[in-house]
Amino acid sequence: MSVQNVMIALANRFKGSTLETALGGRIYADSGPADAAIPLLIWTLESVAVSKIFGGAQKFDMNFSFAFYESGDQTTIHTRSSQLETLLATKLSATGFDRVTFVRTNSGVPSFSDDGWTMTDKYKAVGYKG
Amino acid sequence: MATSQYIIGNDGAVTIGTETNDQMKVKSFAVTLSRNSSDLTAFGDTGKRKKLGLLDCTGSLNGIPLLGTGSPITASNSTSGQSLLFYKTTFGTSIAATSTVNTAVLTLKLFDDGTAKAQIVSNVVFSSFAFNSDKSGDASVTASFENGDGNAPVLTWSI
Repeated sequence: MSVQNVMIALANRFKGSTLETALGGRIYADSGPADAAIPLLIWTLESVAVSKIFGGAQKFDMNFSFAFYESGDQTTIHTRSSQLETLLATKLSATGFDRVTFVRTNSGVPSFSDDGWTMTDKYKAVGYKG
Repeated sequence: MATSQYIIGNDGAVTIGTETNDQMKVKSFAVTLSRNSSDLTAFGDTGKRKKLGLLDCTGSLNGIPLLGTGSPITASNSTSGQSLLFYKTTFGTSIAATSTVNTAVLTLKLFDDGTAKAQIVSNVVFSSFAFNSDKSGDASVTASFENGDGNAPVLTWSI
């Protein structure tokens, strides 16, 4: 449940955002629907490392990937990436956590295939419980 | 009596006086109980002769600094820094030769089930606090401590 709360908080962060509007609301966790229109964003929680602290607290190191799909020019996909960075610049409030901080660890480069651009950004999120 | 349990790190617990929960949480610790060894070998001895001195307790704590919600305290001397763990026991009243040694009770439990079975308790002074912060997400503080007030550290161990 604990990591799920981070995912819920992240999904809530997208709601009503400039990024969500620009993507027509097509932001999906893990996988999108079949034949989904683009542009869209698929985000995935790739791994979670948990380390324990005396007293019962725990540190969560979470690695997220955000894959953008865009039909316009490659400049647009960079704009979406910047919008995501802005969106994650402030701390995330997740139930049970002190707070969750996102740091971009890898900025993707656009790749063109199947009449569309794709780019994947990676973020590390750190949060403490207890 | 034969031992029947192996201690693993997760069994432990750490408290530093009453201030631990306010300013840092400990992730790991290292502690050494030691005595000075003096060489008293004399003419006529056919082997080394040594005596051990008083018991000392030294080590380090590695943890995560915590930020409170109260008003910030700016510590620039021993008085204003009294309530800051990072300041008080490093540069506090213990630096004055005439003052009471300013120690904190450090309890290092290697096994914690609510009773004292494997632990070291020492009245320590902290000789340093080393802070590290990484923009990519990690922050830590490492504290070095030493037995501080003339009383021997207390070791409790189930046998």
